[in-house]
Amino acid sequence: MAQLTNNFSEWISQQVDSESSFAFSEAVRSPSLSKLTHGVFPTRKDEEWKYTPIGDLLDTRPGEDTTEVLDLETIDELKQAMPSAHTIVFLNGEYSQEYSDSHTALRDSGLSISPLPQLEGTALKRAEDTILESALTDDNIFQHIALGLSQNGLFIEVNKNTECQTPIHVIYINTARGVTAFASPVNVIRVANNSHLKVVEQYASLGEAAVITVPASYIHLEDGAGLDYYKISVENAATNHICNTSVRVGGSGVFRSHQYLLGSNLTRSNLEVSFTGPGAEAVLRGVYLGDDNQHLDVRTYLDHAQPHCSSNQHFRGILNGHSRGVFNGLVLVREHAQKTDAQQSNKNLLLSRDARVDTKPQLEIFADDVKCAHGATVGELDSNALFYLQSRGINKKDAALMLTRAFAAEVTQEIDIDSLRNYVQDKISTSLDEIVIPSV
Amino acid sequence: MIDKNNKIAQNNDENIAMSDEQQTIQNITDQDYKYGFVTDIEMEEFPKGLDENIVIMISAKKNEPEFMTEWRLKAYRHWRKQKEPKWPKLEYSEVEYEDLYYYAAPKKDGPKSLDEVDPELLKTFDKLGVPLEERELLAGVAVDAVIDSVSVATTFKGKLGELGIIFCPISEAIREHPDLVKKYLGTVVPYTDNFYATLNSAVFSDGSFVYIPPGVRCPMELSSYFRINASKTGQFERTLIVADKGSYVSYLEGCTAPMRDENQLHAAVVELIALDDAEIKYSTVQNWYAGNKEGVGGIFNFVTKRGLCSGKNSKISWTQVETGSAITWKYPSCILKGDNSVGEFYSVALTNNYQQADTGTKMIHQGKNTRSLIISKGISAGKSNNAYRGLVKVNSKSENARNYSQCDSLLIGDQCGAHTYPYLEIENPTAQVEHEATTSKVSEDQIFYLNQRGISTEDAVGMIVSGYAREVFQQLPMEFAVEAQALMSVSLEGSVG
Repeated sequence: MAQLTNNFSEWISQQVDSESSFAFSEAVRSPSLSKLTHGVFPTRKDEEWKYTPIGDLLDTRPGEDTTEVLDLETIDELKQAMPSAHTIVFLNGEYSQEYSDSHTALRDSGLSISPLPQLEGTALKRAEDTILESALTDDNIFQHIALGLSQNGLFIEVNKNTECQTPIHVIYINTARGVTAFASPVNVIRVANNSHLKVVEQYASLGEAAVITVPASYIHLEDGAGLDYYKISVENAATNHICNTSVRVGGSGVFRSHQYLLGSNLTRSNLEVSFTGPGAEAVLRGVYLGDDNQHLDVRTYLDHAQPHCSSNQHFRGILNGHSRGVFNGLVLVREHAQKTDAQQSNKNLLLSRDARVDTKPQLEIFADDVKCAHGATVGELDSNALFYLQSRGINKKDAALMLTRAFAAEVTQEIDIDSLRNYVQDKISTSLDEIVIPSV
Repeated sequence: MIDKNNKIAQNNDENIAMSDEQQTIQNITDQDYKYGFVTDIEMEEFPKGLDENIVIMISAKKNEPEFMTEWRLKAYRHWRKQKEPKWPKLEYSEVEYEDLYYYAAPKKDGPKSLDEVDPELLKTFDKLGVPLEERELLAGVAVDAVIDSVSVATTFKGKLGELGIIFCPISEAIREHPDLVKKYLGTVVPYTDNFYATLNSAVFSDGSFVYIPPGVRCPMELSSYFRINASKTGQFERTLIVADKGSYVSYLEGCTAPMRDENQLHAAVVELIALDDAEIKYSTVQNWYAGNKEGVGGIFNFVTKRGLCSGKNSKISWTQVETGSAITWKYPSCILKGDNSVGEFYSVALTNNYQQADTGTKMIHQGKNTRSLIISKGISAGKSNNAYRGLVKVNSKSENARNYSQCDSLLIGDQCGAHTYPYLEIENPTAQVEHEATTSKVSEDQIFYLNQRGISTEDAVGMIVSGYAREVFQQLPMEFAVEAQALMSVSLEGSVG
């Protein structure tokens, strides 16, 4: 652990002392602020950050806010992913009433959405309790940056026995040009008994400037609740994105997560799921697609603290240029979690000479009547498959594209929102069009 | 009413089945160490603790040339700067390094033949089932027997000598073949490598040295039996095996130790070097005292084993059957430097009671077309914890590297833990690397099937576990395979799924 001595950390300590209006009360903020004042950033010596250097991030220093006005066309383009959803837009970390659909109209349906600054009273308390009840095993400083310094975010709450038909589409847009921007939205999602909800979080940057995004999400599903949680991140090559997500799933609850990391300079996604009741289920999916000097790191931590739960993880990496992919997944089956079924798979495709993958799929098992398996593979495109396609008259480049797309599609085909699936597959195809050419 | 009676009858059956199960679990956890005894031999001991004088004394005691003394001192000074690693998934009381004796040897040193060997020692071997004379005739195995650090007997020396093979205690090799030792010692595990290896470099007392000249296929399995004997004596063996171009050797290492209450430290180093077209096969059966069923006592086994495939087409194969020790920290590794070289790792690790094992391998691919295979079978019972920790690294210059790893865990009882920590670091796109791991228990169906064929539950578990670990046993030389099978069934007697 290195002491706070560099640019980003100096800036952080200035923010701690600033008079801005923060989203949370002292109960949530003060433990985090004390962590920030004696703050230490993780280094390569920390096992959880062994493969992910954050020097680039620490050398950048956010500047003054330089919000630029967006035209509706840009927003519409981003909305393509979810045309019929309830849309909420954040511009440079600020909730944008102008571009967001009105959330007051939703109240009757049992679903309520509130930007954090508008929260007060019992609603604020429920949101804060949700945060305080969760604990991350990788208690990294970025979580505390989010909690201590966040000025914005969302609290999404679903009442009992509510089937939410309309998905929620949250778009985070950064428009910074020239000056490094900073955003740390905190999202809290509570789904009560037997209710179901779909949330799509999309991160995009329209400017070329560096952005430091440090989001944190706290999700609580009560017994029998279900949440489909998508995260699509297509940010510019100067963005550093470090997010922490803590999920607690009650008995017979179902949590489905998809993560598509398709941009940024550095992305580190830490997703921790723990089961708080028996019979719960978690399905985690993800694709990370890297080029140039990108660094994409996915960490998952699955805590099987209850019996009869099942989890299924499937992550795929496609790496080109000098990019680096990291998968670091752990499945913990506690002593009484009998009849656990835990599957974990990580597959990586290296498209270039200088790409690199470090993968660490781990199992820690303390119960005997369980079915647990994990697997990891790393390799390049199958030359036999390439040859076969060529023998059918398909040129090598198209064949390589086809195989790489298919490799990603094994995961993306599981997206069960049609428009979103098409959007993600298109994004992947577009990126591949650019990167597969030079390597073949 | 009838239904009710039936139900009661069923319940009774279940109860009986339950108590059988508990009984058998009881049996397995109650087992005492079958090889526990202490040989009463006069020991020569140095003062407790470690400083430069002790290191110099050990070196002087062995009439070592100056380069060795220097090397030991460099290691000692480096060790003082190192910290004990804390990253393994192991929990144990701190080792008091200043409270250990760093040298112990039987009083009479350097016997010229079997006749000169202390009869007490020979009796020890008899109890262990290693009658040297018989071995000579029956198994064709040359035994370099080590009791507490000094080699006391070496057989078949003449026969091996005709072929130019050197097989002797490493202390003798340092005196007789200093050039060879100087050339290879510390080249695979440098004295700076890790806390335990550095300590070993400073104070190692004895071990085996093997050199196979070019083009020679060693006609017999070379074997060395190690025993830890004196109380409070850290055992620091050092083994160095060099297979010159085009040669082949198979080396066996087997261990049992007498029962003691205090934890005994064991920090061995094994270095293997295979030159062009050479092959080394290294097999271990380890059954040191694992502590009693409350987890008191037992050997702390911190071992650094590493092989270097330095030449093209060379091959190093590790096979280990680990059933003993309170703590096992051991990662037999292969550095695949030569093009087309092959590394293999076959392991069965069984833990029971409060035993803890953190073991696995490292396969470092550096050369082109290198291949590695990892088969690891962990078995946890009682309250033990068994972890596989392995690294597969493919360097950017290693073209067409291939690795396949399979790490299976078997749990017996619901109070043990099985863990898998594989690390895959791949820097070359032509690599093909696969890792698979599963966890399972001995299923009731399997037991039931065997029961209805007239096989007792105890035998059934033995059969299932043998079958589970068969891929590894197949790699062992015949004599060892028999011993390993016996060891497994002893350790699992009365076990149940």
